[in-house]
Amino acid sequence: MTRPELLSMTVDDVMARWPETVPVFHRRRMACPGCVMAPFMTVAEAARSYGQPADELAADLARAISPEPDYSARRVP
Amino acid sequence: MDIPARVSVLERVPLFKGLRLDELEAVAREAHERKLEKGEVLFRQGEDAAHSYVLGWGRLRLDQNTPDGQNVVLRFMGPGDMVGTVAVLRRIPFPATPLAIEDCVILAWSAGRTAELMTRYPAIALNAVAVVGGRVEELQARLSEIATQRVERRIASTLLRMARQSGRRVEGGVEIPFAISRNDLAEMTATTLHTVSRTLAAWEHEGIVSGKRGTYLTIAQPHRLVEIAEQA
Repeated sequence: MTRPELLSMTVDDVMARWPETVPVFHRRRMACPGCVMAPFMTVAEAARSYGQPADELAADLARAISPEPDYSARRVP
Repeated sequence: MDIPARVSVLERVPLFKGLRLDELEAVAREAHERKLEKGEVLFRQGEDAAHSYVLGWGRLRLDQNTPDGQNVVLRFMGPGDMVGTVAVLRRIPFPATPLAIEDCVILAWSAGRTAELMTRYPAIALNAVAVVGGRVEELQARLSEIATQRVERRIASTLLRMARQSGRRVEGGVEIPFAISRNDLAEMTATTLHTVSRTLAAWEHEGIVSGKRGTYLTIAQPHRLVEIAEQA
């Protein structure tokens, strides 16, 4: 599942909304978690700063995000 | 400002966090209002602390004169910040001079009223401890920087601190939306105007910051500035 909106969200917003993305930054040796500029930089800009392809970072983040519960599923007793 | 306008200001002030609407109204009712034009001072270092203040809107630069006549910029105060509260509670003369660097609207309470409100609404006193604690942390960080870091790192850390407190994301990067001169930066980082000018000129050349005369300073490459501050 891709999430194209990730690229233009701030790093801080992504990490706050989906804390499970924090390890992605660690694995990629990006110092974004806890960085004072995380509220101001987009995911795309962060990728550029570290010389990493933005779409690959976005894909990694999307993979880490737990799927939301499917409320349309119904139980039949 | 009428009472509802004052309440809407006070609602967002950390000093009054957690107060009910009726309590905020009581606090609002017991305030005096002061307006400062850019360039005026709220009080002078050394004067008796007769009032405590909350900045409703505008911006103040807190200047302190050292015994040998130098000026140190302690911090900038923005909307919602409390001013003079510690001096009032400690019953000491004001230790610094707040200068309006923009037109300001300020709410004031007498020293007696300040203490009475804190007794009446203990949340105010608890919040004041938290605010003062935060400022102590900031000063400790600055002291540590001055003791251990080279001047470029101190200037970078100071710009990042101001950006974190008041920064705005704009097209060109992160803008610090109020006027800070190179002289202000020198007085905040314990260095000379010459060193600040030289450092900022180099950073402008590298595209890390931008800020022509008359515009606000913008951090164009936040990541680079963080690298400099942390010497990564």
